[in-house]
Amino acid sequence: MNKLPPLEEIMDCHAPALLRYAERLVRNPHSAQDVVQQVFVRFSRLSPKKKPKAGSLKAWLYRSTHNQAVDLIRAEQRRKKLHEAQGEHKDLYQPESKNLHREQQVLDNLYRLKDLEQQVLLLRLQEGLNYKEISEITDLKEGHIGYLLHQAVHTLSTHFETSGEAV
Amino acid sequence: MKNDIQDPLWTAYALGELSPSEQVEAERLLVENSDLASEVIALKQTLAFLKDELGKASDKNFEPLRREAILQEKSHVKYIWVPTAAAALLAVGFGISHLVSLPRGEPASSVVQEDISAFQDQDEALALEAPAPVSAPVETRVMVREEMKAKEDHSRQRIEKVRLDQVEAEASLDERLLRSSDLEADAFSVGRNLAVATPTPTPTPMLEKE
Repeated sequence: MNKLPPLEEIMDCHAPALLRYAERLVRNPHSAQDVVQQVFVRFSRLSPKKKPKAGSLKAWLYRSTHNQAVDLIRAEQRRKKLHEAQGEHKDLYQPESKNLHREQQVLDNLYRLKDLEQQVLLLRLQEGLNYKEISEITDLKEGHIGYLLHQAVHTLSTHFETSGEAV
Repeated sequence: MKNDIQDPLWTAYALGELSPSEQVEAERLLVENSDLASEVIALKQTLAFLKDELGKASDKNFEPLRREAILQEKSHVKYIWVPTAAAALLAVGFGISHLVSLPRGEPASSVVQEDISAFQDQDEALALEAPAPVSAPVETRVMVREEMKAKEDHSRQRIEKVRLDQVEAEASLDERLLRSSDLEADAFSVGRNLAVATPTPTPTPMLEKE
């Protein structure tokens, strides 16, 4: 049970879901590929003792993907601030919301959520993970996950009501 | 379950995650509270909307080059241990062989040996010079005193000998100086006599032009 399958098999099994999750977080398919590649490279560099067990492999991969994506987002934000400070291409990073596609508008609201709320929402609604799995990934208690999910949905619901998007 | 939309269980209800008993209780509360019911409907619509939008995310596959890069990284990580381990083994081997080849109990050099013996002599001398403790027996104290006296006599004799050698050296030096001054005087007189005996050459007179 604790023996890990070969890396090729792990990649085939988990890469598609991780790429989908990463793309949602970083909002860029190429950056998502970078993120997941880094995750697998990091995984392959782990010594056998430090490698996660087969039972917790999925949680480890999702957690690493999230951390890697957050690192990338923060780096992008720093770069963005630097560019803005230099007055370069400011408009490219702040498109007008009226021109956004419906999906983009939803996601835009999604990205305004708190980091943990966003993570829990994506893992539950997009990835279809159960509370126990999300708990393993986020190190949060299942009750706390339910609370965060409710907060996220309620916040978005309130926004949709006011903007008349979903109701 | 609370009669309030802030209760997280309402999202669980909207997602259909409640147990049958909780489900019944939730529906009872919704019948009683129409405001709560409308809020729960809004929650359900939001969730359906989110599921719809988020579910559009299709499965992605790794780009083949990235996949290859990861697998190469894996093989690189695997093989990097081989040279590392080999280098470590070699280093350990060299260390052990160096330790084994080191000479054990190598005699100290002659200079060091002399220094050590000199220090030992000095220690012995100091031990001799040290007066015997009062608590020592009389015989021992007499012996020590005699040894010290003998050593003093020996030292005095050596000092006297050195002084005599010095006097002799000074005398021989004086003698040599006297001899050299006599030789200088002789050489001076010989030179003088030679100068008197040899006539000085007269310069050739210049011929006048006719």
